[in-house]
Amino acid sequence: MKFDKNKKSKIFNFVFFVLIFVSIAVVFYRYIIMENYRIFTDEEVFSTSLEEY
Amino acid sequence: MESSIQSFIDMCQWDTARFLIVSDNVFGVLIYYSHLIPLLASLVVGVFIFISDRKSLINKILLFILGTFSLWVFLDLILWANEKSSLIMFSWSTMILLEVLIYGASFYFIYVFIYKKDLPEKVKFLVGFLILPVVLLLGTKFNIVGFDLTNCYREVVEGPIATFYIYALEILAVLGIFVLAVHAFIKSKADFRKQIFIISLGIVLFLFTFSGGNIVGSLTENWNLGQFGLIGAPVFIAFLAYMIVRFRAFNIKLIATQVLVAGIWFLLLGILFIRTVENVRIITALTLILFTIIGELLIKSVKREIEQKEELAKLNIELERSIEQRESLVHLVTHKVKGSFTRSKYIFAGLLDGTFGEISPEIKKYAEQGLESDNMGISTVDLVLNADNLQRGIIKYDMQPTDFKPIVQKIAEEKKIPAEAKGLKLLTDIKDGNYHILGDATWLKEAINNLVENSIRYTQKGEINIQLDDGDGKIKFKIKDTGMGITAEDKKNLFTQGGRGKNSVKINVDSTGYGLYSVKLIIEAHKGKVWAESEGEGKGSTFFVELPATS
Repeated sequence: MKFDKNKKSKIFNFVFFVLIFVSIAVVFYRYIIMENYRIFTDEEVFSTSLEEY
Repeated sequence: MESSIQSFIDMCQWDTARFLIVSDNVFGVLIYYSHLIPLLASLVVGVFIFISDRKSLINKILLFILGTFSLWVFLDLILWANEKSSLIMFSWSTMILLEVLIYGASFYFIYVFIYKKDLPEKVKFLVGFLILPVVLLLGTKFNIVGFDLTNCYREVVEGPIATFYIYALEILAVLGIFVLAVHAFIKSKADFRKQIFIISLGIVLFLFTFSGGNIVGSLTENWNLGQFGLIGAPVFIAFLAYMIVRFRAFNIKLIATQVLVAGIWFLLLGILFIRTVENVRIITALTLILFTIIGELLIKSVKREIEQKEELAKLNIELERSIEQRESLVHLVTHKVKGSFTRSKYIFAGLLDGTFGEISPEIKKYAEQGLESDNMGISTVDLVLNADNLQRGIIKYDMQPTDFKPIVQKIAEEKKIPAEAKGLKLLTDIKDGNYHILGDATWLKEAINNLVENSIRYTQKGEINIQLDDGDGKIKFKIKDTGMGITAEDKKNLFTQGGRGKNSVKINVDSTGYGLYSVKLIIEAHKGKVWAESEGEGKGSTFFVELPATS
């Protein structure tokens, strides 16, 4: 199927914005709704966790 | 999780934020001042520019940049004010993405501003590809590892995306803008160079201060310094305002006075957001200095505008005087000229009708030519006088219920002989219908007469078709000829005062350019319209007249 430039641009913009929206929604769900994140309360745990990288 | 957070809240004596951004947790004294002014200014300016021309791509991009920036600033205030770790995690993560989008959009903005066209597909995909890791990994440990409860600073632990990758992208974006701007600057003409310089400098300053504050904050964890990075936004807005006033950028018309008054308003508004009395003095002093500068510019701008207005008024008076003088001269000259033609006409008429005695056939021939020439001269003078009077609105139309059909029929009959004398066929097609109109019969006859004479004059061979029809409550008159036609260039001059086509002058050297102009004035005074169509030179012309019929 041949697309003209204008249509390609519109599809690209649409997909891009949908990805951004989904990404922010995932972050919202994870941190606000599920509160699923790591908490560093101990200095030792803090530095050890970073070393895991 | 909740108990450890609660014990830290108790230990750190964090205050619960009101309306997400108001709390005593905000220990930076100028946080609200440095955040709310850029936020409001960006939002207002972004929306204003977008509303001015919603279809413009560059206006949309600018709204995106300023809107995203406003959102970033709001989330930053949430970080400063809140004790809730979940909210801080969400805001911080989202801000990472927004920052990258601002930089990508800024690069897009500069490209579109310079080249006046959309980014090429490949470049768009490349930019999207570079931003994609941030989008996909936003909610993962690669972006934000976790929440740091080892101290009371309410910070997150950033991963490699937040600490390194986005700053690499931002530096790349600024470099890209720099390269685009320099390349365009070298290749552009002098007047556009200034615009490129101003807009590029404005946006680079904005991005540089924005990223500078954030990089320093990320690396040193001294976020107090980061707040001052937002000063770049009002500076960028000031550059945008200058572009709008000076170069009518973004298709907006604004005068300096409006912009300066808005600037003063925002400066004064900012004082409301200073939290401590001690700082009010410093900020007020700063505001006073800026106010003085802006006030000075405002006075100069208003003075300049008043001077321009006065000059315009003077020129207007001179122009009116000039027009009056010209009109008196036209009338004087045309009356004198008409008088001369008329006297000369009577002499020739006298010679021809034997008043001055018998004349030889040769003298008779010259007398006939002289009489014809005088008649043409008088007719030309009348045409110019009429057009002038019509334009000035001196002519008072005697609007009465009139039947348009007999007007057309009579003129067609009168012009048949001169047309046939030229070897042309004059055909009529007058359908039955309602041709009643509220109009001045004399002037309507003059208009139709001009159109028919025009067709005869500019047709060397073939035929002239006159049609009269009615429909949709309108009287439709059409005259089609097989004459010299009208070029696209000459079409622009048709129906204009003194407008003559290049070819029309070749065929009719006496063409005044006032005939069709008079037709237009008369028809429009009768609430009608007149126009012409032609396929081009040598392909004939068709003139249309539409008038409103009365029942």
